[in-house]
Amino acid sequence: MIKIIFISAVLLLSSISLYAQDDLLAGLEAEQSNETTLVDATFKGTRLINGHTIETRKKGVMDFIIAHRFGTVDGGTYELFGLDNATMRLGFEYGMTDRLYIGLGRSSFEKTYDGFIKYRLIRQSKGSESMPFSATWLSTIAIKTLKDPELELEFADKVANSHQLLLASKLTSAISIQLMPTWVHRNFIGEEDLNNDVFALGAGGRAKLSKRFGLSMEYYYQFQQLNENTKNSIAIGVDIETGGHVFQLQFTNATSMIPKGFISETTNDFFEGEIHFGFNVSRTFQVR
Amino acid sequence: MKIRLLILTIAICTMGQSMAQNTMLDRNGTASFFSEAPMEDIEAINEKVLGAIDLKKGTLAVSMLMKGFHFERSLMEEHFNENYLESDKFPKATFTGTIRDFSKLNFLKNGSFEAEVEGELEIHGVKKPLKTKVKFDVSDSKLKAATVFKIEIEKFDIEVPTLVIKNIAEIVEVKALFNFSI
Repeated sequence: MIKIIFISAVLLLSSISLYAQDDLLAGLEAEQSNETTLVDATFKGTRLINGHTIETRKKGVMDFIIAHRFGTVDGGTYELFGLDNATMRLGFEYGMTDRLYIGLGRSSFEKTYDGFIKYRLIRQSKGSESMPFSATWLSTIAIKTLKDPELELEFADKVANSHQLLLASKLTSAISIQLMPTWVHRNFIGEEDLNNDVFALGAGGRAKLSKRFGLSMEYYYQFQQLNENTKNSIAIGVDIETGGHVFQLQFTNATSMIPKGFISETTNDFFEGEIHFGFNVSRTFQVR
Repeated sequence: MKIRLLILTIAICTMGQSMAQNTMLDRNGTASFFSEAPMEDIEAINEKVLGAIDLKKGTLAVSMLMKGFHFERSLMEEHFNENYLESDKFPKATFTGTIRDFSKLNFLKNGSFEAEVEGELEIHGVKKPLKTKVKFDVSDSKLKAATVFKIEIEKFDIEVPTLVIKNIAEIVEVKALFNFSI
């Protein structure tokens, strides 16, 4: 009997919820709340500061990135806090699909050409098929073309690769965090170098202070270093977005703007004031 | 006794359901908007708009996800959700309204007619009254509804920075189309 009353009560209650569709909107909204939506814009751009974010540009979008790193600020007024010297990187990047992203770049530092391929493996989503984080794979290749008069190097000796698994979560609309397990491999190392392979773990994030302005941070810890002189790279910066541009201004101890460089070849000590001021400017174009 | 109670309950429940049958639904309604500004025209369309019409009371309800709007340029879509509509905070736009002079209209006979709908539109967490003409088209058991209206985005607390003021219109034209069925 109790069972029957219970069932009746449940049925009655459920019919009441049908009555509640009297309130047409409530019925519609109940139906909609389960829809899966992708979480967009975990980060403003494809770069956190020096390194990549999980973000890629969508299909048919080209991104043109100009990045500068000036000399170290401890040069003082004589060097105008590093502004007398600059290294730069130019990059062209393109979204093949909404998940596949490729790019080419040229850094003035060591006259290096680089290329990368980036693929969004998992995309964070909300709703019935929710996924709490995004994962993106990034593989890069860098070819140093700076001539060394003392060394006869084969092409393969000038090549270094890096592979990263980027994991990120947009915790709130303002706060996103990212982890970056990294492997850098060099075919050829110098006499004072110890390891062909460098393993590192990066961590970073951004906090948006307004819709178009945010703070960001990035740190890579090396488990196995190229040689004893390298330091872990640290960067703090701000993101400013205006329409199709993203401006990023930063302070970092890294000179290079490509993964194999800033992760494993940084020798400046952030806490000794060997800090570079720099910026990234990204401009996107819808090509197709 | 047990059985009777159960039957009674089921009867009450089905009554509830038969009442709900006055409601016609469309799960794939479309809503689109068009912004015409000196620098660029922006157009977006949402093809997963939920709409319901109660033919007993003459009431209407519409609900849509802001992320359901798709743009020609993907970056516009990102900015729409991130910077203007804040879709994480305000995921939906909704409308509830009543059809004026509903008792004088015949929704059962084939044919088309115009009616005025008055109600409340909620976008970006801001509710504003809306009055618009809706063209209804009845054919057999289907009911089409179409409307066009203009909204001032400023009234919905959607901020446009001065830098892009020439890219985004202050008044945006909205179109909605539903094909209701039982």
